[in-house]
Amino acid sequence: MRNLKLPKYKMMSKNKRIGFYNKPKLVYIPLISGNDTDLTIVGKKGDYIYKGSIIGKRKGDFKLPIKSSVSGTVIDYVQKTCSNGTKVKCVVIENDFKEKEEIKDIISKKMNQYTKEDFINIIKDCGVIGMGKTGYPTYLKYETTNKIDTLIVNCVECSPYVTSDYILLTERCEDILETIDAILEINEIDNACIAISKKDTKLLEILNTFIGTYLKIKIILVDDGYPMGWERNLVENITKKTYDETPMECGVIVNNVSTIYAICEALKYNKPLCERIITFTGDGIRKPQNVYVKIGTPIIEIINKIGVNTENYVVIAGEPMMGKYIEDVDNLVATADLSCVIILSKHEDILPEECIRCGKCVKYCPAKISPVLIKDNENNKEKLSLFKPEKCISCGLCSYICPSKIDLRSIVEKAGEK
Amino acid sequence: MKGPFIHTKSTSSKIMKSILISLIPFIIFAFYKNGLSLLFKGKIGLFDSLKPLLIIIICAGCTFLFEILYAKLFLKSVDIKTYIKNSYAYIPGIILSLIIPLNTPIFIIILTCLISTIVGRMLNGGYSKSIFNTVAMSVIIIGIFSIINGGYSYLNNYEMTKYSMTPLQNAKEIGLTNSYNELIKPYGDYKQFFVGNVSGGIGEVSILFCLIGLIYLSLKKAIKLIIPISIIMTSFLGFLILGFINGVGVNYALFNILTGAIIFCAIFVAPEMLNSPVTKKGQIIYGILIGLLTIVFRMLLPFGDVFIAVFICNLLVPIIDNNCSKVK
Repeated sequence: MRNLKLPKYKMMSKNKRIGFYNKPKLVYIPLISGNDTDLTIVGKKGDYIYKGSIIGKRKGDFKLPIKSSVSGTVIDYVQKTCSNGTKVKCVVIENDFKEKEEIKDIISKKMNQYTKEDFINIIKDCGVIGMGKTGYPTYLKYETTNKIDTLIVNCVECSPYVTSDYILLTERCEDILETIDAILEINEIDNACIAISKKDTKLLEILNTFIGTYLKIKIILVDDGYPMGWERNLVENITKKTYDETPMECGVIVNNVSTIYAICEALKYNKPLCERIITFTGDGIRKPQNVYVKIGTPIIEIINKIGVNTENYVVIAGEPMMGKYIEDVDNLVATADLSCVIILSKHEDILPEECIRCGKCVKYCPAKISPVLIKDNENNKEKLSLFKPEKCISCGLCSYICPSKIDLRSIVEKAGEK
Repeated sequence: MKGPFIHTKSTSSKIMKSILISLIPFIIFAFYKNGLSLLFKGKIGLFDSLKPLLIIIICAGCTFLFEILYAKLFLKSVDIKTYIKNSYAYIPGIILSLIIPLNTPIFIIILTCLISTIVGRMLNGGYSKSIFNTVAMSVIIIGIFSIINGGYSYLNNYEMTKYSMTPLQNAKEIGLTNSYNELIKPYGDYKQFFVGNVSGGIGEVSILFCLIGLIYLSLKKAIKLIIPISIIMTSFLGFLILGFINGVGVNYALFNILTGAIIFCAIFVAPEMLNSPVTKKGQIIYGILIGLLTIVFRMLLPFGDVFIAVFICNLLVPIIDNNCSKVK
């Protein structure tokens, strides 16, 4: 497997102190779960909401609750921009800065004393979802009937700019290791691997100081190419197994390290997923850093608080390869799967030239499809099916590597839809 | 605006420039071998010594001019300025000029450039849609003219006084043999062949510069590296096996791989970006096919073996690519 080395741009926000922004006046909790926006709204305008109360529920099979990240009053329902660039209906809550929580049974169990059902119920109730990119409900991974023998904790962060997972693991290393150990015991999983990039020597050092007592947890150093953090790539690299749909088929669960920390908070304090670390970086922002943010916080407030270098900045939600350009920055709100906000001082679309058929897009495609051949047969439906454009994972490598700067990804994506 | 928001620094024009840079040593070498060195020895006059340079300039200029003219006159949709910037039409011209015989008439060169530019590159609507390898095509056209007109000599004035044929023509006269004395000795030794101090095309003869070019291009990632490797390996092994079957040994294979522009063609003509396969498997198949066809044509045809092989395989590229797309 060939992974491409991308420029990293990580030093800007690495090794900087973590920032906090936990007092937004208004929060806008997006009513979205995965890509599903058809949710049942719980409550109405004027209701008083506790921190952690349910404000929305998913219909259908994945019954995952949406929870409030502050306590206060529901004042409105408005449309706001989400991390995937689309408009989503949001619940507007006016923060009363009391952080009041609903009175609930106090849990005094140790983390590893939960039964498997309790464990699944708790992470379901706390609304823990995959915090990498997918937003896939985490409890579903553990509900599988397959025998799981490996838990892979993904801390590779192969994308440029992003350092939120890195900073989380350095800051909360002990908690995370303890949680992994508890998950292994509760779910009877044989061993766990923490996958980190082989270039992150500081991370390795920190992990090594704490890992001594956890015999089941291994540290795996993986190549620092892109897209090494892709689930399929990671599973194949570590366990040498391949799968069709989900990694559970071959006895593997992959969790992002942020998700593990969310599980930790759920098990320890029964705290719902309502905060996350977001990397604010790029050459347009004055002090690139990682910020602890409540879900639903307007991103513009944080950008203004940190300060920008120019007035005409460009904001990208998500990492530079797969992220989306956000036109109305004022409306962007923090979600659980937003790991990074890049503020660039300028960015222009590059005009594509003619394809010179260098074959680099084919050479580097991690899904092993041939973008240039798909481009050739764009309008020929029969031939397209031969090249399987639907296998594209939208990683953006073909568009990155193309010397003629052709946006192959959107061509392949469009072809995949046909 | 659409992502990705970072891009590789490599651009099409950087790739083309790398190819151009890798050709510069050949231009200097051609000028030295067929011009300057003879001038210093007092064999030819000043004007004659400029001839190799003149041919290179004419080739490059013609391919460039004809292409731009055609684009200006017939391709309405293209912006002529960006077309000039992106087409790099003079590169095939330079490559062509390094392969052809020194004594090809200028008129024939211009005619060939015209035909191959229009038929090979332009008829389908611009360089990016060409289906022929123009260089291979031009070499074949010049070969045909050469046969009609009784042969253009590859030899320069000095070489003419010593030999009557190029090493390859000589070997073809002799037939299958392994004799070092017959194949190599009349023209020097292996060192001379490696450096390129033997008669042949204007600049292509130097294996040394070919290898330097190959290394430079692969460092710059401006070449489909699998193609030259598989061509050279296949043809060398093929000649070796052929040699052993006929009871002749290593000298036969070595001689055949070093002459007739096989290595130059494998590095600069066959992997030409536009008309070679994009998939890895396709590139291997393409290389092996060229290697095998080269051997066959060298046995059967009087000229242009490797170029005819490239030309034919070029036509097969769409089929190769469509069947080698890696998805299962």
